[in-house]
Amino acid sequence: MKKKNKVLLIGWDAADWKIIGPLLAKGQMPALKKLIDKGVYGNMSTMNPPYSPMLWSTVATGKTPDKHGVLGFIELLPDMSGIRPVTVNSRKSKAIWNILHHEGYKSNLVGWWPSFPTEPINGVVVSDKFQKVNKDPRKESPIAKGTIHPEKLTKDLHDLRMFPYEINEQHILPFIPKASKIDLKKDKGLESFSKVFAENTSVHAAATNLMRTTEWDFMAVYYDFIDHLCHGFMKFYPPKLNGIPEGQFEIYNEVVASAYRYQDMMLQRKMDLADDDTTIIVMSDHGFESDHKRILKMPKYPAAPALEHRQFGIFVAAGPNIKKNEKVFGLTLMDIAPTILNIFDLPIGKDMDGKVALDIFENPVAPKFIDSWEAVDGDFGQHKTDSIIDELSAEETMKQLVDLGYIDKPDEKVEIAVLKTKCDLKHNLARVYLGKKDYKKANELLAELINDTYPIYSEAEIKALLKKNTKGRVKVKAGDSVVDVIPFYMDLLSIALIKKDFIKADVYLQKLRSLDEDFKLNTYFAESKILLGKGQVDQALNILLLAKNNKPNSEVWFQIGKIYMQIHNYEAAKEALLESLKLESDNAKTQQAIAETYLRLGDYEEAVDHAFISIELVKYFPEAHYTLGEALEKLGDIENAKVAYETSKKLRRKTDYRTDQAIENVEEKLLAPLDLKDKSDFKYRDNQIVIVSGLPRSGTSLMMQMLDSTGLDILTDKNRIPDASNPKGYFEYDPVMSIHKDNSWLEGAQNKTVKIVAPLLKYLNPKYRYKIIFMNRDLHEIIKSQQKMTGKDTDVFPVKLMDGYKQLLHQIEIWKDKFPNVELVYVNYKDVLNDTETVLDKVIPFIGIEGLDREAMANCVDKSLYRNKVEK
Amino acid sequence: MHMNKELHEIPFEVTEKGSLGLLAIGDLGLRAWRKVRNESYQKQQDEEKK
Repeated sequence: MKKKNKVLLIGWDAADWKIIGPLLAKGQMPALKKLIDKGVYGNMSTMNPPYSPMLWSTVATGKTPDKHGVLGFIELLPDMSGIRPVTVNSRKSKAIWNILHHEGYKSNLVGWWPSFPTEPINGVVVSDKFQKVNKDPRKESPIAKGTIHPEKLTKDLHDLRMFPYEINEQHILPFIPKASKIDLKKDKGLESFSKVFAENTSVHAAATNLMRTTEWDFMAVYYDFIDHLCHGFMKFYPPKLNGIPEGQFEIYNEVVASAYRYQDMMLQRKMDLADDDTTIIVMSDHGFESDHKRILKMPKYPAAPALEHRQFGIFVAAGPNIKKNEKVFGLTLMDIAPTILNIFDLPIGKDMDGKVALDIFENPVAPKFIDSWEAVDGDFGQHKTDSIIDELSAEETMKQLVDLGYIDKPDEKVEIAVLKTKCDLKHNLARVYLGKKDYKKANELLAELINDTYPIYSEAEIKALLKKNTKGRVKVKAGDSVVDVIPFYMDLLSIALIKKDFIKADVYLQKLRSLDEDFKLNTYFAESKILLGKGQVDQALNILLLAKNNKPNSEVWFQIGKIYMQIHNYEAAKEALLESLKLESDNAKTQQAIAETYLRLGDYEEAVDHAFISIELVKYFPEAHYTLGEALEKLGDIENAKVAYETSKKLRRKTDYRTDQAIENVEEKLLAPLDLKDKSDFKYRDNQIVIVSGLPRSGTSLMMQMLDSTGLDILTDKNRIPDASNPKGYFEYDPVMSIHKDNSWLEGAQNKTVKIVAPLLKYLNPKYRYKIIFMNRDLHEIIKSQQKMTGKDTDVFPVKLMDGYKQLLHQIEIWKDKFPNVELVYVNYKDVLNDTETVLDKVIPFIGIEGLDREAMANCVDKSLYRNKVEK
Repeated sequence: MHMNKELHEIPFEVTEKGSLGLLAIGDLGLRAWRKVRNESYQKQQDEEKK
């Protein structure tokens, strides 16, 4: 019999390798271990904002939320008369099961969020309403219309719902061994555990039933067990956090680990029921903070609990054509739908944002494409119109979202609830665009949100709120807007910082501070970035150092490291970044930054290691690939350096001249290997710009004069006239002095020679190729010459200036290696005077132009001008 | 009986209180446990009536 390509997709919301790792090591997740051993595993990158209905809809469609339309936990009623928990009506794109329906395949769907009301697909849908039951045994829990498709199966499945009141000690004690110590009147922990446990057991019962009793090609089962128990009990997970009472910790510290163990038991059953033709995928949509980043006091912002979600979820797959026991990299939620379509040999919509994860397959099949599945007509098993929804059932679900803290209790005034939901959804869409780096669209939406006028709370409303809230936790006062605009300003601030618009950023920061005197959300990052943008490096660093002393965390150490990198203090940067890694080792950007730091410090092997770790964490990280390329190039592994640079280029959306030039350089090296220590390869470059540089009074004018004498085209305006300090002329060009503001004139400097003093080299445009002749001279001589020129007392030695120059020269040494478009040779001023021929042997081939007049160059040297030598 | 055949898939004794392992089996486990639990309850009720 011909084997079928069956796929079982199992969603474990919020599952995280950080918890799974130790459990696997102790043999406490044997089912997942079996899958890993015979399949592939890796990280799953999440998206922002990390709200589960949005993310699972991305999994189902391969598209970002701006396209699929699911933008939050709640949605507006079609006639705008109210709100309800998000339903399948919010989804505007076809899901995998719609496409499979069109292609004649059978799909089963259980618990998917959102899947209510059920779509009429070929197969069975048990929607996310199925498991939501009344916790009160005296009340009925009818199965609402639209909960199960086909509806006739309701009679076969209705008894598979477990009720919280059925749970007994056999179920509770594996999770909460000391449950008897719980004060049931004050502590609602057991109640919320029972609800989540019953719901997920119901999902599992329905899923196993369908696996046993129906024919299917694709089946997707979604569990929120880990996520919901983590939101409730992660704060009790070991090690004990300060602020958690010992007694509570003792009672609840096993819940999270037990949640994973139970989920694994349920996985084993599904593995037993699946046949050998089935590819099994277990994945989560995001991780969950389980260390010092756990939040004990949740900020009062919409969907704030999502702040506990970690960037990486899990991915495990095993099946007939899946590689064995291999780690895979760079997967995103958007890749799941295209990958499943590829397993069924179906085309992928070009409008899907994900890619086929070809790396997971033993024998990959080349993906086929169509423009869009949305444009294909026919029966896709979708709803024809917005379906009627049982409002009672919606109310129950809404209550659960409130209980979990995902949403605030909707305002009793319907119009206010509608307004707030509209704003939330628009804000979420702005955040989706922000995540997609579409800052223009994000800005437009955020601008609308801050410019809208909103109703304000009246005295009477505040009194009513205070009356209802006996704990007195009413944060608003009469006159406050019913819509909190702070989150909108926070995102506008982020965008302004990304766009380096520091003036706007400052305006938003001040606005935020004025809006809320208690505003304490990491303003030091924004403030330090603004200061940095204005060039006030020391102040920026001081703010972060202060923040670090107050409350050290990985991000503050990272930012400190980045500032040290910016001022080329790589030893200090290394220390700071290592501190950051101690607190958060799996942060790709920190791993990349430390790789670059090791690179600048000359420790290339360490640089390679960290660049690799960074790429392992996030494959689509062009800068990490670039750093890896640089480190490999330094180690002499030119071929792999080329691969790394090329990968970096592929992943970039915009042209990066630095990467292009790096590739050009390694290609040349592969053709004719040269001494790697030399930063010059003596080859003429098309449109090269020859630069003479050095500290003032290091002999740059003499070198310019030599190059002028040989017929090179000199870029000078001759505005600075010769004087006693430089009787033969300065060869300067005024626009150089303002290169930090405008470097566009470099376009016209191609194929010319220009003098640029050392501190300004960093402002060169990476678009062009530079050949830099850097003049070196004894620093004591330079300073003496400068003092004489400016009429200062030469007997007073400026130690600070000397240190500054030393630092600058050190930075040049690092800078020249950092940019592939820069070739630099050092020429000693004394050698120009005393060993001119050797200098010419070095400089002429470096410029690479044939026929330079060597004699004319030599004739420029006038030893009588060497007047500030220091006797050694 | 269909139910009896299905119960063979449960590799351990089903008690009145049930167990986590039983629920992890899924629909069959849940139904088997409820059956035993309800029978036991009924038996208890019957004895109380006597």
